[in-house]
Amino acid sequence: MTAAQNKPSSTSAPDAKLPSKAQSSVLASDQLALPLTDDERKASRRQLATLHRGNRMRLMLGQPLLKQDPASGASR
Amino acid sequence: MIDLAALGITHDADDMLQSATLRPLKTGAEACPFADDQWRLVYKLFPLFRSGGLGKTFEIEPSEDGEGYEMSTQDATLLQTMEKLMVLHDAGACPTEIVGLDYMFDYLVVKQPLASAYHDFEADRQTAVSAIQALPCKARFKRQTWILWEHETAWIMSDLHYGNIMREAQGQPTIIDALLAPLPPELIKGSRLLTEHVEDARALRLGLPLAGRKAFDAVNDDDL
Repeated sequence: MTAAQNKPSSTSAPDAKLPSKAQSSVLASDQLALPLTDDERKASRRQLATLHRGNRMRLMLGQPLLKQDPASGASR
Repeated sequence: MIDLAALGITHDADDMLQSATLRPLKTGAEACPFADDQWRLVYKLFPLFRSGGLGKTFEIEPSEDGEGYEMSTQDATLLQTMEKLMVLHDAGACPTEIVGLDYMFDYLVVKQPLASAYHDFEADRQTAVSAIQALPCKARFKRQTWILWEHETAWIMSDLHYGNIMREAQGQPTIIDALLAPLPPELIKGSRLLTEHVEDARALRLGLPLAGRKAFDAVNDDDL
């Protein structure tokens, strides 16, 4: 059990109680989706920043991306 | 469309979210939350990823040994995440309002009432699960799962860990987030347990009597 696993990953309160060791060993596997690290989030943001706003909209809606002008970065 | 700056949220030099007016909470697997203590609200920002993912869901497959099921987390689409939020809200979990998309198309923004810590995790989780009329799933998933019926669909729910069970302002335990996926019809048909769970979850949602399934229900005692 790592320290990170032992912290509550609350998305609405920072003061959620920490589980006891016994509880955490039983329930550690309950957490299926783990948060990204700061580095992973930064990398994702950097990758996304290469896309024009219009292409971010298309990406968000699952539509094919338009080619971007290499000079301006604008979608064509 | 939402202007994050108008909400008091900006990006720092590393392009990470920050706020001078809202209190940042612990980032989860899916969203970056900020508390508005004045209005007792939490804004959750679900970031778009370069893969096109926004939020998380999971996929279920029968185990290779035929003894249960495997679950694997996957990136969700915007529509899957919005549907999950609506299903949980409609089922009776923590009230969730979909506020909109930020105008740069980087985030889905949702809003929930500010919740407080659970008291007794197991007891609170059970109460919160009952509030959305979900049933514990006895099929073998290698982790705790629940089945609920909502939007005319059977859903399987997981990830009810310590951070996802909290108490509403009135003190009632509630689910503030979970992972949710529609239960594939072919899996339901292939499993007596899943079929029965789905029947029961649907009956529970619709206020119908649960089917009696004791092994010897239809047998006269004198015949045994």
